[in-house]
Amino acid sequence: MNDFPSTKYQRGKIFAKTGIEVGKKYAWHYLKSLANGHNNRADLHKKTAEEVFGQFTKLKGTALKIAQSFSMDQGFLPDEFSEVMTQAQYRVPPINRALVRSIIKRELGSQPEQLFQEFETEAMAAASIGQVHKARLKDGRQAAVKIQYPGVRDTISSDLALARILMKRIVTGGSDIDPYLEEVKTTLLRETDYIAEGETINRFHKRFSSDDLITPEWIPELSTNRVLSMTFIEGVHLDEFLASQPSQQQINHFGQLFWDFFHNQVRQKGEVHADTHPGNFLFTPDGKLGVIDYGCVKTFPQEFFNDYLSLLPVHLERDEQKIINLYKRLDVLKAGPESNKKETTYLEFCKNYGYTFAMPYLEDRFDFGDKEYRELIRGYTKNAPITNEPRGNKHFIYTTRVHLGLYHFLMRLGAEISTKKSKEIVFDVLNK
Amino acid sequence: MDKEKKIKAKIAEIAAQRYVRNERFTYKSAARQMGIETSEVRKHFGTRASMLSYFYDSRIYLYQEHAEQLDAYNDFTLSEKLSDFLLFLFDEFGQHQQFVLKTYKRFVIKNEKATNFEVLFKDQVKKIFESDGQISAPSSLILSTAFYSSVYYKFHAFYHFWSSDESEHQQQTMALIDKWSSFVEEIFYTKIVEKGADLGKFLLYNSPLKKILHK
Ligand SMILES: Nc1ncnc2c1ncn2[C@@H]1O[C@H](COP(=O)(O)OP(=O)(O)O)[C@@H](O)[C@H]1O
Repeated sequence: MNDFPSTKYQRGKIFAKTGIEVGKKYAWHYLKSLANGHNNRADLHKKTAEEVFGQFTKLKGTALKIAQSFSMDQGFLPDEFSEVMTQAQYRVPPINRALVRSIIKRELGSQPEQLFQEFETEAMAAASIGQVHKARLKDGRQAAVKIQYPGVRDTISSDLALARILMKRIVTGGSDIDPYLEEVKTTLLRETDYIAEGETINRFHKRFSSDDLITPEWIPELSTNRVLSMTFIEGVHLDEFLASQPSQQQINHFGQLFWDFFHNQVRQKGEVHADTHPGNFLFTPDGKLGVIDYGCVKTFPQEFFNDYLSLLPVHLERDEQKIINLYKRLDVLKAGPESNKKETTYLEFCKNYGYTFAMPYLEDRFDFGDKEYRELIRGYTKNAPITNEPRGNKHFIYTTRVHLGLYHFLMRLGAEISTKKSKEIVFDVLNK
Repeated sequence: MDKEKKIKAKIAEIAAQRYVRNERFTYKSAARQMGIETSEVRKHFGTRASMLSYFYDSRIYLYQEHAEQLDAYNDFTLSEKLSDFLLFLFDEFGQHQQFVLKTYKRFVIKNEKATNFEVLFKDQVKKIFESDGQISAPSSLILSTAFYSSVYYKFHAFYHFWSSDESEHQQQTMALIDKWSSFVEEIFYTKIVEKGADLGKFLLYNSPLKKILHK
């Protein structure tokens, strides 16, 4: 009935219940597969995922974020599991009009009418831990005001402690998930800090705002830890853009901007926008790419960053020994392939997957609209041997998220882009 | 709010401030801070206790004024109206936190007969429920004096939660009020007479707090 179990105890019960349910399902599955010898794991995962997902959504903010973080990391959870989990981002209960007013009053000191020339009391979009309202500033500029649901930050730690119990039941092989959860926790806590996000907005605005790219400007005088005001960006999301039946030329134009934005981040070696979700990019009427949502940016340690980038030349060269060494450094391989069969499977997977990922750089141009390529990528994510054992340096959560997000976006867009310059950028950065 | 109520509310606020500094504040000091004659203060309030307890009554008047000025108020749903009312009160309490923490029990809870605040509070809640067009027929049956009392007891419970809420800006209290209001709305808007809704109503109605608080 009440969609948010508010006490820690209640939340504990929900997780415990899910844990039991998951346990039951697997036991049932195990018995069944013994009985008739064939395996329909996929089917089972889906059911389990839906159930866990149902429990997860009851925990609102925190859980949604955990769900989202993990769901982007294909290979960590079964495919079917992540599929259901990704829906999480569309399921945030709203903050009602009275509460919106009250939050603004408490955070900014006055009623919205006194602070803004206009303030739309109905939210224009849901955000992960709150929602976004459109407004007009007193100076006439249009603004987006992001409002956080009260008390989210306080519940994160306890939610994560509970999530850990749940994840431990799903993840097999006694793998250590703690570094991942710790990483997620740090990120989550940072995402609740709207002042930090505002400062990030400013840094990105300085770095990237150009004729091609538009990013919001922060409005600090109308912002606090839980209310974030920024300039509004006019534009449509990917689906809406595609529905408007754009020409191939328009598609390629935006695809190129998107691709270049990521490589410019690589070139500058600074913070990276780590939430490559289609909701965070806007196609503006004047042909610019709008980049929003700076709640999740990452600065990777130099060594990891270089190793990760090195995956490109190493895969292009197809030098097996180098590939092995690199994956070992990245903690994806625990030992050489000669040591056991499991590592061989991993290596084979990484080699092929990695090569597929390097393909766009083989020639000067690449067509992400190519259906075969899409099937290839999908095939890998579906058949990853790394079903439920986390592997790889913890920063992989974000690099894969960014990278997969980039490719998925371009594939959905169906853009053909020039990759020549971007390849040079990667090689330049590595040779410095 | 008429002029007299406004002046009285202002005096009560000043009295609340002075009370925190010195429980034995004088009429004279309050009048001086207000910039009026002591006799005028006496005209409005016979005792200092009445001055202080008016602080609580006037929060409801202030709320009514706030609601009148709010354009969107009339299309607020039940949960929006309820949370608006409760959040407003706690906003006001927050601005006079020390005073409220010191006097709530004395002026609001520990009273043999119903205080003015109680009467006004229940009236307001009644108004909110009775003016709502979406409440389902089976749910409207439980609207009664006893029901409004149970909401009032619930308010005491929120007060206790609020008074020990250490989160910044008492966010946890905001969240609690929001969740409770949504829950009430769900219970009242449902047209389905099913066991869940039935239990919800029962629980809402039979708040065990009544007994605890009246001890
Ligand atoms: N500056 C902005 N201009 C236009 N729309 C915005 C802006 N900021 C946010 N939005 C809208 O609000 C949605 C959610 O905002 P976002 O920052 O992604 O929230 P969160 O990261 O907290 O989930 C976006 O998908 C977008 O539609």
